Amino acid sequence: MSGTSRSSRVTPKGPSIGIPRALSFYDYYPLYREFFRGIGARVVVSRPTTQVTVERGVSLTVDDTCLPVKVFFGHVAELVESGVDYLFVPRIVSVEPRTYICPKFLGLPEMVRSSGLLRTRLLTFTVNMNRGWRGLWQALQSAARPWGAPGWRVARAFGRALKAQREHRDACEGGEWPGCAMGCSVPPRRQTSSLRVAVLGHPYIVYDRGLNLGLVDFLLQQGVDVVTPERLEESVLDAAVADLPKRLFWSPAKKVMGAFRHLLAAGGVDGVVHLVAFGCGSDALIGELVEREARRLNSMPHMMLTLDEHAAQAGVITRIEAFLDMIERRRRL
Amino acid sequence: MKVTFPHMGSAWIPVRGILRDLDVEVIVPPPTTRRTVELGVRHSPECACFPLKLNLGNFMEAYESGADTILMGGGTGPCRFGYYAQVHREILQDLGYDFRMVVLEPPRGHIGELLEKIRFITGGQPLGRIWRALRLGWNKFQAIDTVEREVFRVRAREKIRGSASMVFQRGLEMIDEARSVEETWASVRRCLDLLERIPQDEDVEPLRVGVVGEIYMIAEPAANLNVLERLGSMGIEVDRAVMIGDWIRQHLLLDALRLRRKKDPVKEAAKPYLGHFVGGEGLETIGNSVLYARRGHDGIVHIMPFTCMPEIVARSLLPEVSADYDIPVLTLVLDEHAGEAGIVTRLEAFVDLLQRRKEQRRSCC
Repeated sequence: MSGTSRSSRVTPKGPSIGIPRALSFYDYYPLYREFFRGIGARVVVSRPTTQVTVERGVSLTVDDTCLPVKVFFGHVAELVESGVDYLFVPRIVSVEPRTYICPKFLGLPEMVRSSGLLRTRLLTFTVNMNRGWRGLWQALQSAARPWGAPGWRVARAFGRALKAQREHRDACEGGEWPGCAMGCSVPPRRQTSSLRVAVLGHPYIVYDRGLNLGLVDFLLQQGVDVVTPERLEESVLDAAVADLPKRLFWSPAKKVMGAFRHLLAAGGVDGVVHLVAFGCGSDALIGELVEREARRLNSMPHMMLTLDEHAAQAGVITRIEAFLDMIERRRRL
Repeated sequence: MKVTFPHMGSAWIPVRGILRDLDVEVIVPPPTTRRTVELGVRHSPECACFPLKLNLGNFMEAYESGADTILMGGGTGPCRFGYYAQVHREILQDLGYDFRMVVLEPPRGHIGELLEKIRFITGGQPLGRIWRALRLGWNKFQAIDTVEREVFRVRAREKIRGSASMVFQRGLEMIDEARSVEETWASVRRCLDLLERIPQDEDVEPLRVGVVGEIYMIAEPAANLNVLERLGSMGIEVDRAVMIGDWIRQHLLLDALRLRRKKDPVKEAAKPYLGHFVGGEGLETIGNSVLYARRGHDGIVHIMPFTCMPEIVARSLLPEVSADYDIPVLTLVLDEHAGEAGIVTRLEAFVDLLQRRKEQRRSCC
């Protein structure tokens, strides 16, 4: 079942809350959805990313912002127009101890507010799990205030939200395509392929088919078995970055780096495609480290693709086709 | 062991002083030039921020001069600076440069790790001696800041262009030569005296501009194409928000000891616009802009490296500050592609705008 149809199956009472289909949505939608439903909110999710979303986002942000943040603003604009009562823009500081997401996640609510398009109320909270789960509980409690739900209901919603998020993660590790829970189902296969390719990148790039120009869909249509960091166990990812000279202080980068190093050591994939957004700060450094490590060992084909608002589908697909051809040939040798 | 470190404005003077006092052989990288930029850019990731590229260029040139150990700062995020050294190490390793890297990280938990590194660099010098060297270095940082603040004031009023800069150069040399805290401050007094004797235009009330942004880009003239001096020679009195001395106190000393003031005026000023730290100097940029506006400055120049994450947040919010306080803001996003002529043109246009605003205000009151 896709996220869109789920969100239209609404609880009729209470003010509505608009969740932009971008950034942390691709990590935590199951949690957001269950929590806000649990406290009696009507959850509205913006429509999947299109060229229009990108263009609107570009017009609302400063030019050197990364593509995913621009896309986020496109979704915000759509939600504001659709007249939701509250616009949900979380400030996610950290999701695990001593780690951050990225500075732009830290300033997101203010950036939305100052963009001047806000005609609806901003619902924001600060998630800081530097000191553990209490950070999330406090954040969600503050977010529940406008609905005036009694404490027991908030607590129950919190429990359900955590359960939904856990189930989502277990399903992904068990083989379900992680995008399914976010309304990005697996496209029908057109061909069969025996290739297994890892696509590394932030979830909001890999699972947003509008943002990645259908590149991942193309791989799936070709019948390629696509491995993403979300399909690997978290403990495996953590173990793979444990011997870095310095621990990574960005959670998303840690996941990408962990997945890459794990796959490099364990094998089992024919190639690695690293999807990065132009202007992404952490990717600029992580991409470099990944590329150098891949080149040094020279055991696995690796390609880094940088996406921005000027990228065109034909160009991206051609490159991925060439990459697939290259691994096919390499295999036959 | 021949130790080198990256350039950051005139910070090399106190840093070299500290190391020299501890009998460490130091190789200061050659001054940052076009060649440094080219070397750094050629081997750095394309979208990395400009300071990373310049640091790399410094290291490569220092290696040519015989350095074999790098002394570098670290951090705990979310600004990318905290991971610079790791990327530098990988690049230099692939290039076949045989460097040892000592990264001074803010201590998390216990201070032993940091002391261990200092002991390694200094070859087990007694702590008392290390303390004395650090104290002198700290005083030199303060001394340079003191002189530079006065230079900003005089430069806007000097009758012969370039006199203040000349005295500043001489002052830096004197501070570099000073061997004790007393000597350091004596040379500061001498320098301030020289500055006072520069013929100045006392009638003009120069325009005042606050410079905010990322610390490295502000501190390193080679990175910002000498924006601060250029503004001064256009007759603008520059106020620089983050001096290196303040920055060290705030980020290295107070943060490390968890002694950050509860009621930081900069943080308070930023609150209506940005209620959370965003790493780097993002919050300071907003807070200082508000403070400058309140103090009646005529304009704000915001300097940041291309793709800098914290400053992008700040840049997105500055229009709000600008509108609320009716103060013009010029953001300069700089990297290796920035050209001198382009920057000069933009500065001139900005100064014209400020000038006209001031005249208009005067005529209507």
